[in-house]
Amino acid sequence: MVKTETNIMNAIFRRMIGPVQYLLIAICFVSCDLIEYHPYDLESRNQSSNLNLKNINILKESDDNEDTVRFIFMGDTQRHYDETEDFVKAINKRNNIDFVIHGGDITDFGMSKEYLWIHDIMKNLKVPYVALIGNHDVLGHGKDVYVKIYGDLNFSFEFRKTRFICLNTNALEFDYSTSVPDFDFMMRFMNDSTNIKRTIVVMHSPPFDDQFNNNSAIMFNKIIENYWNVEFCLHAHLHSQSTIDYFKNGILYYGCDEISKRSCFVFTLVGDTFSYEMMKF
Amino acid sequence: MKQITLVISLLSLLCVNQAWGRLEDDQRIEKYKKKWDNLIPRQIKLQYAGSMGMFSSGPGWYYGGKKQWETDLLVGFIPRMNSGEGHATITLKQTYTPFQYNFNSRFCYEPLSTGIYFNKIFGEYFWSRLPEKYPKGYYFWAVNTRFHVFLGQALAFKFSEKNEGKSLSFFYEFNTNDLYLISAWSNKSIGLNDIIGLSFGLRYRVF
Repeated sequence: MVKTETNIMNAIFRRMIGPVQYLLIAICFVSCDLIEYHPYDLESRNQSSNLNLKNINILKESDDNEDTVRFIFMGDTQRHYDETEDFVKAINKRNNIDFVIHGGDITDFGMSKEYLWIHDIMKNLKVPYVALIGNHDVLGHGKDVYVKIYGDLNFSFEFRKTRFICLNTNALEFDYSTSVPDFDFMMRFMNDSTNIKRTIVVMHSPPFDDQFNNNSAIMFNKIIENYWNVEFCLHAHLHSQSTIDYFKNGILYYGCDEISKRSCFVFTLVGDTFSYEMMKF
Repeated sequence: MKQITLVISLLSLLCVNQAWGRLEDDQRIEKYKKKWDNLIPRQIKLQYAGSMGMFSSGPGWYYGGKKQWETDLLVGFIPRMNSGEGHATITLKQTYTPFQYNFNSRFCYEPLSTGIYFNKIFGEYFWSRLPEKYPKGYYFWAVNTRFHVFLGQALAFKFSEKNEGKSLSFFYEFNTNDLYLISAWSNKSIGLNDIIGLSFGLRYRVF
């Protein structure tokens, strides 16, 4: 009885284990991307990292002494992948754009896959893009995923003597251990005019929004007033186009439409002046 | 005197009643025990991935005429998540396996198993009810709870040739969750291959 049982077992082993083993290896090989420990986890995935810095470096390489800067400001891609795809196609048709700024709310739920889906679409842009963090991007472990994929929450870059300061203003999503807005970071650029002609401040949530730390709004404005030749400020978050002088000091805050409205801003800076248009796609 | 007779007759009635009651009680206790016996777990599952942790494991129950229903309570863990800190999760899983084919007396193939599971993750940034700091209705979903649907197959090996007995099975599943489905629903550019995940597992039936 014992002997027949072992015989049966051996037969089973010979017949089944071989093919099953190969099948398993094949499935594992194909399915690396399919293995997910949790929607908010990025550990088990291959992903790009430090995209903002990489794209800023690409932008630096194309920096020259030309006078005109033309860039796109858009935001709130959230769950609108089809519209974002159309946006990328529309921008690629134009040849006069230098770069694109995504004003935040890259994702809707802050899940890792959403970040990857948006980057998969945005990486087809012929010009470099940088993305700010929005309040939706912070949810769950979204903040860590942003840091991993795009880099620091606050960053700045210069292009054709224009300094862009990109700030995390989603105070409601953070506790007091993270400074939002980060005055230490902001003050680095105060009264600093080295090699630049103008400054543009970019953020996700505008001052006096629920999301903004409104107790700090006056200080926030004081620092911005001390920047070298502030042209204007940009923000997303409100989902519809707006132009507001929040502090009655002549510094205008331009808010962009969400991407699902199929529109974005095209800003053109020439000499001492600037102009903008709403681009429909 | 009449009153005493009444009291005695009432008391004796009570005694008779109790004697009868004891017999019934025994049967009831037996029934009661059997009901509770059903709560003894009959299987253990170990699952890898599936958006419920790196590994999840826990007791389960199978029932139904063809053992087509399974309910499992799994506890999982994620050793590292992005910034380093690990997380625990808990999953309630309901499986339906309509078909079972016996290759021989030992191997059984389950070509289709489907079902749903709720997964809850524990951690500082995962809430189920909107924290007080937000205005009402700021976010509509619970960050810590995901609702999953899955579709899979299994191969079972019986340790004895009898119908009842220990068995070990290997299964794999494709799953997706509510938020992925919402994302794919309104977008042509998000397809099925974007939203599904794969998981593997073992199921050990104790009896």
